[in-house]
Amino acid sequence: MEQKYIQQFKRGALEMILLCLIAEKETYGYEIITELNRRGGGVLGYAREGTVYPILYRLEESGLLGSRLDGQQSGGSGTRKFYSITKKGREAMEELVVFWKSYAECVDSFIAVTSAKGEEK
Amino acid sequence: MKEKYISDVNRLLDLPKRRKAEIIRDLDEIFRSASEHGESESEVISRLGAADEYAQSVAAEHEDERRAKKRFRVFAAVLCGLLSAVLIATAAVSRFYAPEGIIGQSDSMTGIVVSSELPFDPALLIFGLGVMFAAAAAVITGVSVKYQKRK
Repeated sequence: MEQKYIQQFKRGALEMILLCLIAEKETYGYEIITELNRRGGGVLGYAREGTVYPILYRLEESGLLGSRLDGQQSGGSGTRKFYSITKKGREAMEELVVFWKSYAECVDSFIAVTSAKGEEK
Repeated sequence: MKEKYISDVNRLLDLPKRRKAEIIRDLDEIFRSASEHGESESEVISRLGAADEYAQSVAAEHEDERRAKKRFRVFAAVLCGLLSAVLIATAAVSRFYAPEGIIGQSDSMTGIVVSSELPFDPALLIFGLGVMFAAAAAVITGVSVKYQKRK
């Protein structure tokens, strides 16, 4: 049953995490997935293309991400889509980060009360 | 293996053309990037899940677009159906309805020759159009049912 609640936490934060990750540098799908898994796989659960790509589409459609297709890949005939954060995206990310911090603080304060009570017993 | 997977996803996805093209291009990139990093096609597939699972999970993320497409299809089917009904009814009425003042029951030969500028009966043309729209409605409904069943 806890799995369901944990899943909700993860889903809610993924947009912000992706914005942060792409804000670091211009990057592409496979690199995003590998980075997510390398840095957050243990906690966030292993990211899969099926969840990450649709979020990328949505962020791009909202104008928070920009992209360019690069067809000059060595050893590959097809194209590769590079994502970068837009000005609007950076603003949204900063706003989300501020919210996240106050959110975490608020949640922590609830946890602090219950765990303090637990220690009293 | 990769080609089969991508074509399966393409077949199973019920999304607007542009979105579908994007998803297919991305899939191709996923496979290419993975192989550049030494991952085999079967490893990628085991991560993505079976083609139908992948198509379903991607479609679920674009549920609003899928719905819009479905709504459009229902609208088009109803519109074609209505048009076809109106056209066929018009054709039928024009065939059996006798206009007023028609000469009838004349005892002797009247020698009326009914001529038309058209080399064929216009009612037939209207009827034909009606049948065409009925067929279109049937095809659209068929496509909708096909995707509905796959869900």
